[in-house]
Amino acid sequence: MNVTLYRRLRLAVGGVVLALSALVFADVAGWLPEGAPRVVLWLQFVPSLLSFSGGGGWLATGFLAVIVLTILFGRVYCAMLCPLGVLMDWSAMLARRTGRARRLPFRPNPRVTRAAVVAICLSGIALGSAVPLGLLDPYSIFGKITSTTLRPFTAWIKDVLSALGWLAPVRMSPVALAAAGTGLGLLALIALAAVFRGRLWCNTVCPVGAVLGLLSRRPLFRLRIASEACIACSMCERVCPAQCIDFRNHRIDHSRCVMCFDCVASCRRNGISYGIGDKKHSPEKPTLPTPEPQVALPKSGRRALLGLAITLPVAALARREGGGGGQGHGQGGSGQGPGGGGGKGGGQGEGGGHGQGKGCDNDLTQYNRPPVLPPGARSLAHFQSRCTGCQLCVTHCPEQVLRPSISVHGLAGFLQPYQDFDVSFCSYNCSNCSEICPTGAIQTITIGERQLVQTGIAEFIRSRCVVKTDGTACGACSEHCPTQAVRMVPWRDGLTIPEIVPELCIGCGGCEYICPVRPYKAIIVKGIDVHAAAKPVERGGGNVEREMEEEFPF
Amino acid sequence: LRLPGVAVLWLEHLQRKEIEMTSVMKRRRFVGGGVAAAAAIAWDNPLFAGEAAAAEPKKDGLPWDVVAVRNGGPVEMFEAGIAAMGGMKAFVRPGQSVLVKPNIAWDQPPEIPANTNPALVGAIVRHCLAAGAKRVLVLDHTCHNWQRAYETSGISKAVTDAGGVMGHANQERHYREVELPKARRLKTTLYHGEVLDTDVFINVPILKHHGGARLTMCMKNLMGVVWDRRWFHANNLDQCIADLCFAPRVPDLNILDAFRILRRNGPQGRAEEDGEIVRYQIIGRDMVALDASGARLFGMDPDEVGHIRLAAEMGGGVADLSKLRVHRITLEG
Repeated sequence: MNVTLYRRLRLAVGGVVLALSALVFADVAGWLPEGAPRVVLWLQFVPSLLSFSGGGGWLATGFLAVIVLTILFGRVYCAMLCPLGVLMDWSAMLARRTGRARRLPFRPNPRVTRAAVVAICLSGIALGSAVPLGLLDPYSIFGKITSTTLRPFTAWIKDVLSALGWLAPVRMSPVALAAAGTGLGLLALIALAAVFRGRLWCNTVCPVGAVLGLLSRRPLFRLRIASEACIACSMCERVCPAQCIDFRNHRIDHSRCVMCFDCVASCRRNGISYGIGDKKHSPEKPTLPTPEPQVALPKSGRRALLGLAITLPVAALARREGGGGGQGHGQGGSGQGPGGGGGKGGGQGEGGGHGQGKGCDNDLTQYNRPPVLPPGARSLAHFQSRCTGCQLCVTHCPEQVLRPSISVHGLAGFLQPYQDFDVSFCSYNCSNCSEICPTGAIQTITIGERQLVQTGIAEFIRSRCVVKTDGTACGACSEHCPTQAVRMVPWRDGLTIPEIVPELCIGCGGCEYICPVRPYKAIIVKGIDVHAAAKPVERGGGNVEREMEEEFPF
Repeated sequence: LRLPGVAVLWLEHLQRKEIEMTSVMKRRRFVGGGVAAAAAIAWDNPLFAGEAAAAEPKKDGLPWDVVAVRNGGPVEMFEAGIAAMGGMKAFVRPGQSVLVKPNIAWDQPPEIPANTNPALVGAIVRHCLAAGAKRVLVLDHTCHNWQRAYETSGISKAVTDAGGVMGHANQERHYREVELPKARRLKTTLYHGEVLDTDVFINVPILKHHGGARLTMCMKNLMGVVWDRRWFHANNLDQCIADLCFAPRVPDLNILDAFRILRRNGPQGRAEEDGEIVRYQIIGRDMVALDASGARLFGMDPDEVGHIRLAAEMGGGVADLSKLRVHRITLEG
């Protein structure tokens, strides 16, 4: 294979993947067509795998293509299809161009760490949280980075342009400091690792790297070093960003090779070739002793990393015990354990028939209620074990009601989205998040289905309502209610006061968003653990026609 | 979004400065008919600047105070009504800028009458342009996502097709602080800058049931050019709505769309059966008079609607139609 051609292809495909993936997250002006994210992200390994395991159709088969590619050609996914990998290569290239020569010696394969990472990700999911996976999976990391760095920047540009009257205004919920910090931290970590250690990340803590490494131990097409051509100049070993070439033994560790072909280009004797199998190249006696790795993560660092990774799924449990209202049957939701913001839960256990305005817990506020999940999330358990927190739904929510959780979901839901009714509310005529979610954490539903999913139930706290406290008209909550689950009923002095019809409520949060009462709002939507079905609104009668009266009524 | 805000602020500042200068230079208010020459130079709106005692018909050179049309399509009724008022020429002079403020608050299709009839808005835009308006801007501070509301209501398409421009009102930067010295509660508020700067301001509400304010028409529709509506709700909604009669910029013309009205579950509506086709339209300058007529059309006494009662009491307009010159037109089938 022509090396220059391949490297050009790698750069071009990588550039396109990086640009499109970034655009998917940073497109504040809606340039991309609606289905674009699914197509662009089709080959992303982790979301596709997760979605496939949850029964998501042909769009979820991208990971199979990646597996086939890997078995045939090695880790080309890492070379050009992984946006984070491309980002790393670019940062390293930038560093090289500015004078920092890369000299990376061969390093043994950190098998234990790589296995441990996969184990941690899997056990996290088994324990009910995809957050550990989300913090290690390259696609999800890329999403976290771009959504909190590049996107605010493009939004700012658009904002300036809209102030000048050139573009429509931007709609964007504020980026939480902790989310931005996480994004920037990950970006710094990745860039620094790339500058100093090439693809260190990919071959130690990347779960995709570990899995694909397993599949690429003996790919059909592979690189090999022709012993007879080798003059042991060590160039190939030095330039290998994966640190997987042992030039002394003419050995390439294919499980770590990210198919960059830098080594091929570096060899002045054209001694490295790419082709099917390695017939004559099998076990060779070491010609030179392999030195100890010169650079390696200090033991303590390695342990800290492991420790962190282990605590994450454990923390997952903390949340699962604590949160949630006792929805329906006797889950009881007694607020034991630290359990994040949701600790309060449905202590009262009202069961089915929520009395109107009565029997509401008066210490329920917008700050302590169980969080409301996006429609299509089905249940807290389903959602939290599948959402890697990639922020795609957050960036694509037209209402900007979805925000990454810092604390409301607890540690086990770090950066997973919830609906923030301080910022906005969920549209009755929208199911974008469910259509866009690449992992299947938010299952695809139609707008019609969305209108019948109950993600939460509004509770009215009459003692705080301005109609009662001030004796003045309001009705803002009912105004925003698409199903009239919050309706205004006659009160005293010709005034009307809200009343809740819980079976009609879909938990969209319009009522809570607009409620003018402070510090604690008078109407609060409590998220429910297992989404239920709302009663359909009766429709279909058409407009009523009025008979024209004899005289004008005024 | 308040990111590196310095640049935005600076640009905004420049832009605002420019707008203020031009608007001061050219701000005139054309009042129509014979007294126009005298009134046109007046800087303050002569209509509502009067004392609280001014609860009597104003002489503004228009042939009628209220023109009510019925039994036609929205566009037909508008054309008959505005002709009776002396045509759009009586309100818009060549070269003037016009701001049309329909109700576009909700992401609802025209069949669920939560927003002003799009055909009517389109017709108004056409008439303004035909009268020589240099630009017709249409906007509303929507309750739902503005893109969805503009689109679903059909108004965005109707306006663009007619040659008008859709404006924006969902960001705080679009608003300027104004004082309402004659108001009882709403002493100060953030009011839409384009409304403050426009030459002609046309208010096009739709008659709807409202869960909190009972009914929503002309006065209530002005909440769509105000930034902080939660404040209204928290501080005596009815009084704040009535106070809007004393805003520094009130409509020069109101066109109350009552072709298809929202009978219940207002102001958003939830199904087509909430809408009732009654085929009325009421045109006039006095918001209180129009709202009072609308209340009667809905089947309510105007005094039952808190903000109409308060506005009439404060002299924001005349609720008693017997004191006004009302022209009633019934179109032939």
